[in-house]
Amino acid sequence: MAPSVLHAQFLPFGRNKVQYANFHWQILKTEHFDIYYYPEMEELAGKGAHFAEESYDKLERVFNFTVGHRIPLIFYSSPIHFQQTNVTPGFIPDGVGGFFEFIKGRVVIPSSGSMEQFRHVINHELVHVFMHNKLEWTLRNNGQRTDRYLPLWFVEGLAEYYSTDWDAQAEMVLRDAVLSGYFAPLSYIYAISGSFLMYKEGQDALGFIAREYGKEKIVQLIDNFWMAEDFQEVLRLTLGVGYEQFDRAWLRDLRRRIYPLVETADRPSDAASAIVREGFNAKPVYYARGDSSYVVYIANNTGYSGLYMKSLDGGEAKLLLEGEKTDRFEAFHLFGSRMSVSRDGMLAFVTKSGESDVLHLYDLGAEHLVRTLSFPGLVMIGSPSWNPGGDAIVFSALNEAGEQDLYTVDIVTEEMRRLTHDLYDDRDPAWSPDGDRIAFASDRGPGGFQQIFLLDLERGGMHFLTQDSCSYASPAWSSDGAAIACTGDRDGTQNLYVIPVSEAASMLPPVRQLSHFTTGVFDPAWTPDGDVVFSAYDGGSFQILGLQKIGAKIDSLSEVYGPRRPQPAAPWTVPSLAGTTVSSRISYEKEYQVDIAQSAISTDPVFGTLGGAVLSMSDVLGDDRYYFLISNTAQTSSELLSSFNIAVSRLSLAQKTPYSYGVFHYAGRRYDLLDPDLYFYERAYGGFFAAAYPLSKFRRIEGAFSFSNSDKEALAGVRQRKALLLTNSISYVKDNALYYWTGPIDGNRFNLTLSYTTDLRYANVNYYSAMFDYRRYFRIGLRSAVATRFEFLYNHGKEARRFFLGGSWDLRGWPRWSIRGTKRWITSCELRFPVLDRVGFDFPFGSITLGVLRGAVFFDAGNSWDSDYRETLGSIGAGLRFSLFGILVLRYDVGKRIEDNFTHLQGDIFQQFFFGWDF
Amino acid sequence: MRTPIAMTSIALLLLTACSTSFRLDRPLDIGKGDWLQMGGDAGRTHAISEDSPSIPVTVRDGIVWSFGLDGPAAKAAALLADDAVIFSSTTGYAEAVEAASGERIGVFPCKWFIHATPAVADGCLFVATNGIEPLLLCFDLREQRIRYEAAIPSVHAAVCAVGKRVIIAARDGEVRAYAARDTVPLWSTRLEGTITAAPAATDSVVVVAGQNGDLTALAASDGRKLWRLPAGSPFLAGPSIHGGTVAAANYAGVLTAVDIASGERRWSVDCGVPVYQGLAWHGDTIAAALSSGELVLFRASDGTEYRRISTGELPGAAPLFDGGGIMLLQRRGVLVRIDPRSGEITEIAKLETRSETPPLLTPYGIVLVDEEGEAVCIPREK
Repeated sequence: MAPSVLHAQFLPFGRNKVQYANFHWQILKTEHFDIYYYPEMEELAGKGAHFAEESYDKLERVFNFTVGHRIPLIFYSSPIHFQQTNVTPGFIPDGVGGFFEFIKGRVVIPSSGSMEQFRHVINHELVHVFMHNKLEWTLRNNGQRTDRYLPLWFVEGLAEYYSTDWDAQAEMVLRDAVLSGYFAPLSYIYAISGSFLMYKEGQDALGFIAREYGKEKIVQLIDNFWMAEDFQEVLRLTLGVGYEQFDRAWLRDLRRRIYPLVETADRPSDAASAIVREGFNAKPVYYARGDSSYVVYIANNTGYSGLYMKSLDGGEAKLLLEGEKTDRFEAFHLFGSRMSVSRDGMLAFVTKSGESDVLHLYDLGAEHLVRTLSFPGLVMIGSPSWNPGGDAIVFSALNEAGEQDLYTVDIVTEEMRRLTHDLYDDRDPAWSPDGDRIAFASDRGPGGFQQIFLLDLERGGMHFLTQDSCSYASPAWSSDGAAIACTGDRDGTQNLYVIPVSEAASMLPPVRQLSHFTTGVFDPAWTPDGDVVFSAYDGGSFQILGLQKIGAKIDSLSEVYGPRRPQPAAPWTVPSLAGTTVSSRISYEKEYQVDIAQSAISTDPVFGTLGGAVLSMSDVLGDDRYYFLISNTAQTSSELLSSFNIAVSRLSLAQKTPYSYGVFHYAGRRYDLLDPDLYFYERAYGGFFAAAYPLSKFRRIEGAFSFSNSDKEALAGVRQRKALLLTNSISYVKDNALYYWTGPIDGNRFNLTLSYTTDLRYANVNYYSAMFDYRRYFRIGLRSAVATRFEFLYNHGKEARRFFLGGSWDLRGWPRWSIRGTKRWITSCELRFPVLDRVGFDFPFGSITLGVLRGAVFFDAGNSWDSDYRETLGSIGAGLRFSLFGILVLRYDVGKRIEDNFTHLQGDIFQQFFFGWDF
Repeated sequence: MRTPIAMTSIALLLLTACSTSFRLDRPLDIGKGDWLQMGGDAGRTHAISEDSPSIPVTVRDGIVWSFGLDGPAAKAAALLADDAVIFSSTTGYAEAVEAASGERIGVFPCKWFIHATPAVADGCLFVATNGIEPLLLCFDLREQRIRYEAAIPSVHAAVCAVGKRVIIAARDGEVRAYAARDTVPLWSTRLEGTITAAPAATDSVVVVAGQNGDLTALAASDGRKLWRLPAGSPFLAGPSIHGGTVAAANYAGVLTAVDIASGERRWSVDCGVPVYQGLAWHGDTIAAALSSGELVLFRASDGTEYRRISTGELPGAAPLFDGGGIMLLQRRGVLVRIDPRSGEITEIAKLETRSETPPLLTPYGIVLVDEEGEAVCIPREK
């Protein structure tokens, strides 16, 4: 962390993983697990412990394997808390349900408010634990290296296969892939690697193996993994068939199952009128302005989610609000929360903002945000619904205990009222047009399926509206209050249903099926005319579609279950597992384990032989990290003791302001382009402290200081310098850039840094620095952008460090790092566009995808100088960027330098080949 | 730390692969009392009768002796031959120790991984190895020399020795018989499907349980197929023979008893959960350790279940009758003793790590091996 800030040629950017919550960790020890949780979610932790032990017993039997160590399970009571985990340093996007970190064997799982989903994710991740441990044991026992891994489709498919039944969502995704022709058989499944479709294809493939070849074959594929390098060969050894033969049989099985559906069911886009076809569009809601009718919805078609509005009479969609660029609309939870429009055109919707979700009120007529409400103690909010009077909203919310319940808020007084209070998953509330009742979906019924309930606000009490051995969700009232539209997965995939509503009765009303689609539909919303708009999954995208005049058809639809049934009895409960509870703050007994231990020896023609080792350790939660570095640059034995480089530092991530500190001793010859002496011997020892305060996910303030004793001897020439250096720096950083294959394509980044370095003892060094870097990316197409930057770096004073310029990363066409000075400026303008979407090879034995090829046309101008600014240098040209496996970008540029203070172009052309991401 | 051990082991293998000699400090005299396969099922090894008395031993900290194998033992059971215990490890070494003291007295380098329990027959040790070139190695234990090595298909099932014959069942379904003394191939029969379970044998019949769900009987003399009984679900654990009956449990949890002469089903019982371990047989009792952690006792005569005891843990090996009780090694590395009358479960020993190496009964104690290759001999209960 810290000292690099002072010496980096390129100023650091990056978003912030903000630790908003202060977790007081405790550990619940059960027979096989150490469960980390915080006191607010104690009851939920007990339920999770029960699920975990139950899963362990089952998986032990299935895998015929015992995990030989206690498994650390880290629970969070909400996805927003989960996104703050330090077990993984990276950002966790919305939609990630949990993960297994296989280096230290940690399992990290959030609750989303649903017990069933919590159980599913626990099961899913524990399958990974068992699979990983069994595989490692198998490889070890067969003398093989243990860093070989099963293909991802198998790993995730296995986790789904053993953790959940085949549900409507899985069926939807697979049906669409088969019917739309983008299904990827095992031979080509790499093409969908990492996608949700891959998970479900993997799950179905294993189900097919179980049916066709025997259930025991699934685990035998792991047992036999050591027998061959190629998984196809393992498949052949275990099942007797390779990919090609397997794919033929599997596809035949899928077609037999799915193709007949076409006779009795339609694709949504064939049977309903299209409102929005392309991209990922969700949560539609109807809005009328004068005589015009609109649909307002959330979509992500550019990489940023946003709020859109489109006329039902046609025309282009209008972007009302772009999210995920600013603090206020940090994340939209694309598929998580419905919206609602009041009678006077006020849209209520939810985004994440800072440490929790907030509720926004947006005037659709004036097209501006009116108000934002936040609710202490509620971490996530979903599906607001206006009352008919437009002065109150009902919504579902997840609190810190992990309870997903219903609340109302008075818009005028902001007084909040809790309507339900339990561990059942209550969501998608909808206020009736008469204001007396609230319909909502909940899993409190028998069997744990989601059903539709009615909450009577006048008389109190709650009763079932549906009761079935399947799930119903997303209730929506017709404008006259006579019917509720909802989704249900009764026939294996999610379709639309309609329920005529009468007064609360002891008998259930009939449920009528409205649509018979091949794939799935979501979030129906009525219009005043009795039409229904909804989102549907079709052709790999989520479309907004509409069905006309539904109200008039209700009575003609058939009921899905026969005679009316009485209201069901008591809801289910989930037992808790108490275990041996150990209460502790993580600070008092942190369990540290090694992250990396690496040593290296190198030989360099200039610096000779260097050897060293690095060790890093962190605690179970990843909050506290230690780094140890030792190396030696001695060229003779007499130099040994004086040539040790040692550094010890600690990085603490457990609080909102992460900080680090450490001590160091460096001694040896150095070649430093930034240093005025360039090539010198230096011995320096001292310490540093750095901290970064995040203002939001996108903005932060950084500060650092270091204190060191530095004795330097210039090797080119004779110059010795002693100094007792104190360096201070402060930075403001902003970054909301959207990355694409070779670099940013949207958003902007900004860094302003001021620093001051002085020699407290000998006055040999005294300089200050000001660094300014601004980059903005103008999106001109889905994959194209114009990227601009302006950078000004200024050092001034005694022994001021130099900047360098030249090369593929800044002033293109000029030799790399050939221009040095204590001041530097550069500006660039670059057009970025796609050239080839895939570069790969298809061999008879398989395919390999190397990467993506993109192009650029650019202009650069700038210079670096010490005291006299002589001329402006520049270049123009074009280039290609190749993203190799998505991790390394190779760059090739051709063009002409602009020379002599922008008076003429270079005679011939330059060519530069290098690596590195676009600015 | 696994990588350095693997590297060292590979280096050792390379160094010793050039040589076929081995070292044994004293010749082993293989006699009647030596290792029996209880009908050929190496998963149920005990060279001595479960009713035979123990020899008094000195016990220190609860163990008679301990020994570190060259590497992990996995599922290959230890053998007892002339007061020597012979271990085999996946690093390719068979090692002999004194059964009384645990002192090493010999080592047999076998070039490749040993996954299948070896066999002792007619004065020889037979080891089936796995690797790029699987081999059947025959070591003469008296003369301390390697007699023969034969190229074989990949074998996971324990080597079966009965009388002067050695029988191997290969993964690819081929069953081969060799003469023990000179390892001359006697016959070879190909069955359908994969075989990973140890075959069981009498003097005249070899019974093989395959992953295609078939129980197949072959004539021990010439490999002729005598009968075949499809049982509907794969067999992962080998059959057991007692008297004129062969019994086996499959992945579906169905335990089937078959008349060994005619191949007629005598009875079958559905236990409901997969069975991964072999059966134990004592008198009219068959003990089956289910993957649910339950130990179930059946009357061998008619398949009546008369006792079901829940141990709560995944079994690591077939159960073992010993002195009125039933010893069961749990996968987590704990050996428990179960009283079949009262159902009481007593923890006898706990290994450092997990284990699925079948325990070995010796006159001096019970020998256990954990998955890291640490062996201990614990005293038998009176």
